[in-house]
Amino acid sequence: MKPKLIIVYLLIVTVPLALLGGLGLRMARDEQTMMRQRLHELRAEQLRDSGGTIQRAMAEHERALQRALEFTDFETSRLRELARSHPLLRHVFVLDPKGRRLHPPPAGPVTPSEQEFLERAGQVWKEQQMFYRTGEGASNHGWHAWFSDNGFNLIYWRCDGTGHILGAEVDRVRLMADIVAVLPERSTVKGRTALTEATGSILYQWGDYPPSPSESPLTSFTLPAPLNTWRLNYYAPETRFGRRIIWTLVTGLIAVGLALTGLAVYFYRESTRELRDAAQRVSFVNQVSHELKTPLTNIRMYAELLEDSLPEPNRHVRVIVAESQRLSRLIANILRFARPHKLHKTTGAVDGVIRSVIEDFNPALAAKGIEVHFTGNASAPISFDADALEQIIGNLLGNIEKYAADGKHAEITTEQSANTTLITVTDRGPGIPADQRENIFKPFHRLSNKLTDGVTGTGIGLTIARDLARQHGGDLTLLPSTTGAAFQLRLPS
Amino acid sequence: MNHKLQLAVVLAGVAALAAGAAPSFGAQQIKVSAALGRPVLLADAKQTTYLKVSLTGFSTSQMEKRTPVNVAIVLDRSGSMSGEKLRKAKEAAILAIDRLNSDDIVSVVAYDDQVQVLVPATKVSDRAGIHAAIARLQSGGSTALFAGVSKGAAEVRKFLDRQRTNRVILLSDGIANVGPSSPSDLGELGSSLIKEGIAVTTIGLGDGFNEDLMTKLASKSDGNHWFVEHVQDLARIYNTEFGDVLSVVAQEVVVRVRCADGVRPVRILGREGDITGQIVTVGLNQLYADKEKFVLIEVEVPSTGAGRQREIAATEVTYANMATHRADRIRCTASARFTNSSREVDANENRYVMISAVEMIAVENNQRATALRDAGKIEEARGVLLLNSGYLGANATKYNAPDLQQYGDANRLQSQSLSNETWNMMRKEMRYDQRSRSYQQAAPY
Repeated sequence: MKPKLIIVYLLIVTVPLALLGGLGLRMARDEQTMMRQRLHELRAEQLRDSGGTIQRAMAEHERALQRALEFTDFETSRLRELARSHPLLRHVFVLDPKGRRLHPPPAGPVTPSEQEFLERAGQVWKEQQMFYRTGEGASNHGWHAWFSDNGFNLIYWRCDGTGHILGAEVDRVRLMADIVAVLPERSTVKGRTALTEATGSILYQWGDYPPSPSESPLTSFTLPAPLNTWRLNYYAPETRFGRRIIWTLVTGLIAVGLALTGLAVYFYRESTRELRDAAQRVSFVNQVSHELKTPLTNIRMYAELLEDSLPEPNRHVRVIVAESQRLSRLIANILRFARPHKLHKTTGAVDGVIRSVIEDFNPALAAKGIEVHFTGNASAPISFDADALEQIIGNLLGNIEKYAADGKHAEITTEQSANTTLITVTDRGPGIPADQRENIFKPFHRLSNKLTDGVTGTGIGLTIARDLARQHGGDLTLLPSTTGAAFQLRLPS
Repeated sequence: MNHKLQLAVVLAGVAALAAGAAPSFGAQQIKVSAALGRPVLLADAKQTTYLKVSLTGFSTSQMEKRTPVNVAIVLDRSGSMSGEKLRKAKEAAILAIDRLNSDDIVSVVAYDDQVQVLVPATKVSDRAGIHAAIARLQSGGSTALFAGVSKGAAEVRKFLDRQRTNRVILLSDGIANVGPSSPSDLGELGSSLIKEGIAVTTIGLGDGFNEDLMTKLASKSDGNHWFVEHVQDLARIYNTEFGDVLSVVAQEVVVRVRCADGVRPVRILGREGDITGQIVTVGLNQLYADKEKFVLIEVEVPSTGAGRQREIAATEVTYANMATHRADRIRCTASARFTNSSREVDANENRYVMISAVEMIAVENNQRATALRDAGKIEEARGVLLLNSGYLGANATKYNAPDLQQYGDANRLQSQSLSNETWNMMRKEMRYDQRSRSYQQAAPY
């Protein structure tokens, strides 16, 4: 019973734990995916925000350049002065409607810096048809970016009302400085946003996380033209929220497990307390029975001495003897049941023992008008516990006295073969219903519990009888019979 | 032209030259003079001479109140600054800010691999708050110098005002390694900032900074460049720098020299500027009280007959007057007379112009020596420096100029410090010296 209980309690603890764990893990995984997704979106959003800041700065620069290029006077010195004084401009150029350069002066002297610009922007002069596009979607202003030996170059141009192209080379470094100026400052956020230019080198960065040189960004945002070679990259340490969820899950499971174990331990203690209480009660009964045994033995002994000393049988004395014998058997049964003990085997004849039991029972049986017929064929000595056999036969006869007195008949036969001694006890009582044939051997089982039947019993007689038979290596069985009940005791020789 | 008139013109020219051609004085005007190294030239020969346009700020005592400043202090807080360096830098910045008054605007920016605006541009009224913000500063990672200057300039730009002295003061002890980091890129940033009237002063601390980058940024924006070998000197340098910053009397100074027909401008010595055709344009961001700055131009004068007088160049200086809050314009011309007597040529040499010319030529030689040493040609570099020393010594005697003698001695000393162990520091020293001579930067107090 005990291991079974432990398994039950283990199951009570482990099954919900396993279920919860599995479910939690699944939820955690889903949650993790969702959070990662959300985080990714958030970062992308942040990068778009920063990108928006850069675009706004670019739009502002575009307006400033528009204003700067609103001149109508193409005089060289004025244009030089414009380039000299405007912080965003390095050089100014003017093309006439036919694409001929008006400034820097094609004929006149140019400054070394202008000369350098004309060479650096050589490709622009070759592709100048881009300024003169007409038709659907053609713009009359725009950016143009190109790369030269010294890196990224940017011009802004507009077409004035007369078809002249007014353009300016934007100060690349100044543009970078202005963009740096609008981007966020140092931050303690554990993530690094880096703005990189075409070469991939970092222009500006913020956020308190130094990525390793080979680390690839978690999210990237490419700026729109003309800065489409620039990228915003976001780096961050591997997010640890997954581990955190699992940690939460594990602690939760541990807590639930502890609670369940506590509950199981509580129930276990409750149930064992009942068992303990029952055992205590049994032990009490046992003790009482033991205490009763000594005075009862004395009573029986003196009653029997009294009976023997009387010149003629006295009915009262016989009742005292019979009743004290019955009480002895009862106490013996209780003690045997409560504390099964080892057999004390001696060698002797079965028949003798049976005869003495019948003799002891005779007065009680006779009082109920039951005749006992004994046919003894087992005189060969075998090894057995005489007390045990007495108890078995006594219990069987006691049952007949209690339940089968109506049949007025009890028959005991013994027979012996080479290795078996069979003892059959038959009555003509009401018999035992077929569905109860095995149950009667279970402890405390009684065919009727009604006290009104006028018969009483402890319900352990047959249990003890069978136990004793099996302790001998034999058995006690109920033989099939049409009338009454027939029990067969088998003892090995 | 009759003879009498010609004589009168010649006499007038000589008188003018003696005083420094076409001088202009005014109580609240800067002093401008244009003079030739050789006001008397040999006749019938194509030759070159030097034109020196000298500008001197008027005294601040002539101003009702000094020009308010708008300054961004940009501090390097990279890992190499940790400890003593950063502590001294913070102290020096605090001391410098204490010289400002509540009319002035200050901002403090710190950078390592990231940039932090410690004190956004604000009037200097909450000194305690500014001090606390600086005191909290701790050292960190690498060197995002470009971003530091960009953010500093952005802070200055918040209250950009032509009536203020707008300046970024950059301190760095290391190599810029985040963002644009080449001398030319930073120079380009400097040229853009000067267009708004923002100068960048660069202070290089110790032996780790890039002197080319720092001098270029300062030169292009016409700020100062300081080389501070020992951190103990930092407070003194800040003091000198603020002495300049607080004594600005003229800004947006543009010197435009139009060479007369036939006269060819060859080059500008020392400073950067534009030569387009006959016109030489040089911008100076600021002029300090009682201090002289000059523009030195080499001009080629065509062969001219003896006895003739020729106008060489007309100079026009425009600037924003910080005392009167007006745009001033001063004009003057320089002329030369031609003779057959080389003795007369020598006798009339303008010592004051020639000393400057010798100094600028010596600076160029010194730069050439630096370039040679950079290319690993130690012996050739040493040769150039020794020659330069001799050249300076000879001219010191000729023009009785102890300053040139000193410079010659310095060149000789430099020629002994070209070995690998000493070169790093010496190069910084030389760059600083070249730059402060070219831009007439005052010596530290």
